[in-house]
Amino acid sequence: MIIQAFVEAMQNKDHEALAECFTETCRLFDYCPQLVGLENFYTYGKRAIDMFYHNQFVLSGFSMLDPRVVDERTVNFYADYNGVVVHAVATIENCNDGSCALDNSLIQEMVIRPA
Amino acid sequence: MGIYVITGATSGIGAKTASILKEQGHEVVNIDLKGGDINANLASKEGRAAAIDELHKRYPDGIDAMICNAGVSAANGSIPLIISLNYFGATEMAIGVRDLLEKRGGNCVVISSNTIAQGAARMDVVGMLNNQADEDRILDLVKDYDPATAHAFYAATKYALARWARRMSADWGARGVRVNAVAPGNVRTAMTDQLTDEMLVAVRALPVPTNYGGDPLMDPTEIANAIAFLSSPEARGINGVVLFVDGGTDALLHSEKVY
Repeated sequence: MIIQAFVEAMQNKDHEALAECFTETCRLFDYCPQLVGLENFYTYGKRAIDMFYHNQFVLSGFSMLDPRVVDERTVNFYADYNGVVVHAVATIENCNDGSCALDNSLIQEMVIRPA
Repeated sequence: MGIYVITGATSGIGAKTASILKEQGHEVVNIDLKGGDINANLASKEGRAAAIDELHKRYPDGIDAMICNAGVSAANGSIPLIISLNYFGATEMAIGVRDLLEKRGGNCVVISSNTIAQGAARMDVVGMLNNQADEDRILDLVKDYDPATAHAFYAATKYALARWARRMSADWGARGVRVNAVAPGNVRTAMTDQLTDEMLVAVRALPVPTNYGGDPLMDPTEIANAIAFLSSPEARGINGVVLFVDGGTDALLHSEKVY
């Protein structure tokens, strides 16, 4: 499932593999950073996700901790923003095929919110 | 043609900017620690005062632009020098020649950095710089800080510079003096030549949408062109702007920030 690939990429801090989980015209919104005094993250496009999370993993100390996949669209985890942790839920709002369960499913829109 | 004063123009972005301005026919005055038209240590109050006095003696009828370019990178490791030169070496010089700029309807350009978009700046220090501007007190506070944390102070001085430009732009603009900032991305200069291997890893992790055309570092000319434009009469409608010249990094990291 694409949600599992997303989790593995996040845990491995593999920005390229993470980007491969998304469509070319995807959107990824993370509404947790404001809880730790940062601006929320709004990222548009697969290549932007690659660059943005390269930066997050290497320079900004972002990590996904203790992920629990709930279903093919949802993962519950701790988002670590350089040492400050927020309990978060990432939800796939849309996939390119509508199911998010196929081998070649890609994420069109994902939203990460505080749990 | 105009009289353009620029600090730190012996090498790097400053030298390239001076070269462009000279090619345009302007008189360019380089203020630098050594090798300048006026030699002065802008990290010290005495050096700044001497440079300001010299400018008043040479150009009593005014100047067209004050380009505050002199600065040191975090790799320098001296937090007091970063604070004194990067922030006070810019703002105090600009304030010191504001009367000269008013006489010719001139403008001021300060050089910030796109590191301000990275969220790494010590915002408490930014507040002290912008709100207290008490150099001695701030230097006393930071004197025992670990040089390994210099990057956060470097980013703080550059953030404070950009905000200073925004804050001054209304009042100075009403006096006929525009104030703008340029925020460069990674540029090949003497400063970046000092980067350690660890810092180079960080440089490569900086997301650059345009990839600078395949080069990890921009040529100083790309920044110098932006500075020359902002300081020119062609930019007379531009005041209070922080112009990112960074291949789109700021837009990537802060896509929702329109202003």
